[in-house]
Amino acid sequence: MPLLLLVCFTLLLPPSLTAQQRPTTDGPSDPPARNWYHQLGGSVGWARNGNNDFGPAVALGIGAYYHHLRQFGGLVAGAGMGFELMNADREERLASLTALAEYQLGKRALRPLLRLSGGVALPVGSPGQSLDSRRAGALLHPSVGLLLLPPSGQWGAMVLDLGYRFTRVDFAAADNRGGSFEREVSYRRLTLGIATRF
Amino acid sequence: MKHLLTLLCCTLLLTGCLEEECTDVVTYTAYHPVVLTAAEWRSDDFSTTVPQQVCDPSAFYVYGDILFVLDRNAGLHLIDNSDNAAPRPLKFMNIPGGVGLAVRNNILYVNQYIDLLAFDLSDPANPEFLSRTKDVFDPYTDFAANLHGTGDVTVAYTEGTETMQVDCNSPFYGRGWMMEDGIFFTADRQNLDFAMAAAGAAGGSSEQVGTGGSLARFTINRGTLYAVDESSLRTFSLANPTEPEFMGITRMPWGIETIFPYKNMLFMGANNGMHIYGIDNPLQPEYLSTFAHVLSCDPVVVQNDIAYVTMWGGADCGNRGDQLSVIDVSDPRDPRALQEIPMSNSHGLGVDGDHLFLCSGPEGLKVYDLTDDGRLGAEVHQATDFPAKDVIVLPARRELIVLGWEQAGIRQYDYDDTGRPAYAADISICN
Repeated sequence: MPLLLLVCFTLLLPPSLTAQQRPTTDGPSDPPARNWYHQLGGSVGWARNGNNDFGPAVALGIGAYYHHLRQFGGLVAGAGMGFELMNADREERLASLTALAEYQLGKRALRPLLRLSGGVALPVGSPGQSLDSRRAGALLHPSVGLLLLPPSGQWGAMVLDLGYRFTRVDFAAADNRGGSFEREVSYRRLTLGIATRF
Repeated sequence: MKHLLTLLCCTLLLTGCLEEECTDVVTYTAYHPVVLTAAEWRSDDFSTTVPQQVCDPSAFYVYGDILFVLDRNAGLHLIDNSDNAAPRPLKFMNIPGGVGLAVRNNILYVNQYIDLLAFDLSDPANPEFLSRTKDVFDPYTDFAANLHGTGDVTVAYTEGTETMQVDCNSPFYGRGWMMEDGIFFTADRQNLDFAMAAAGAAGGSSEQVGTGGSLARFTINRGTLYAVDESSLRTFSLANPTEPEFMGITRMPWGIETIFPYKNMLFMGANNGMHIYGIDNPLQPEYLSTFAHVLSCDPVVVQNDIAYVTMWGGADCGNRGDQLSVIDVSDPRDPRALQEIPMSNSHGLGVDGDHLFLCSGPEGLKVYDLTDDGRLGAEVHQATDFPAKDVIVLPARRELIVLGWEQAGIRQYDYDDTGRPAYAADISICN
């Protein structure tokens, strides 16, 4: 459904926003003449996190990512790393290593894309949470998005995406009562991301 | 587009797809309740005969040479106190749930949770069970704080280590303790003690009966047994002394703490005032008046138409300072304040002629002179060696029996004409 909405939105864009009408030398929306790109971005994630006195409680997290990408026509593949604050109250932070595959629809300057990112995440602790042990867990992050290319020959594209990020990790840590606990946590986040690709 | 995104976010937030799962495996100190069923505690078997050491004294009472000490949630110690310098254990009666007691004409009355028991004390070394009057006190009151709705009662907790799964998002998680399936989990024993804190004090005095402390919840006057809980006065006819008959309840304002008999009246100490009831008709107490004061904890004793009320303002008692009030009750329908003396730590008290004995917690036992008109005079003595909570004054023997705070035990003193206390003996408590 989200993908369909994005495709429809893109097709309804006025011509002035499409690359075909721009005076270009290399073609309407051709990327610069290289195959490797850097992508630097961030995201915000929401989830339901139990209930409080006023109804469902919401957990909010933020993350920053870097990927090194290669373009194969309409396909993009790459790998990278990220760092996320998953839960501020519980001071849970993760580092991640991910691979990424992306399929871009069309050749316009503003084109929809489908993306699947997956890899491993590892709890990294925080000043208030010293970890006794930890285990890397799976990370899966499907998303849909829009790629906005700059005028041909200019530097930097913009990517907006909406996705669902699932991460599961285990770790053990000391609690504030002198004891310890072993935690299994599955983060299920609706994410909104923005990145620049250059 | 913005509206579509908002709609999409809301939709997803309402689904379980975005419900995070977070489970902790934690190791707690678990306290499993030790439960006595109603059938077990009503078995009428009080036969633990071997004298035992006092562990957690909650109330005390004197009848003749016998000192009674209620051990919280355990039973009743009978101690031969004919020589207060060498008290001798006589008997331990297995009466868990005892909070109040009084003795009249060799018959001991003591509650067991919500029941009233009677024992013949003709042979104090071998009390004989006489009767049980069932269901005459309310559960969840001072008399039966740990009684469940089924009649079962939690008498203790056994400690152990337990590993369990906890939802990290539980609002109860991380508070230091939690309760689940009747098991109390905590990292700190003090949390359990706080949760279990149960009130308990006993005593009473009048006519040919024994003598109790000022923190009494039982008393006997005019052939009638009276018991107070937080909000009611219960009346028992002793016309048939071996089988007390429950006559009824007089509802009172919340906060009743102590009861003291004087002439044909009952003086109730409450946390907002002193209530006076007349018992011209002993089975139908009549409200006479209330002497109101600030929120505080306050026992009352009366002598020569003068009431002495301590008002302790610590902890759960209002935090409004501390004082001792001297009140003229010659007209019990119109009590009048004579004095209000600021104090630093006032609790139980007792009077004998021209001396007032005041328990001052960590400051020990203080002795004040009383003027001819009953007003408080100068402090003349202080025994600082024992944290005093309540005192039984035995004027005929010039003896003091002092109940200590927490688990300090019981200390006995002699006193002379000036009221000077002289150490006699301790009744130590178990470790």
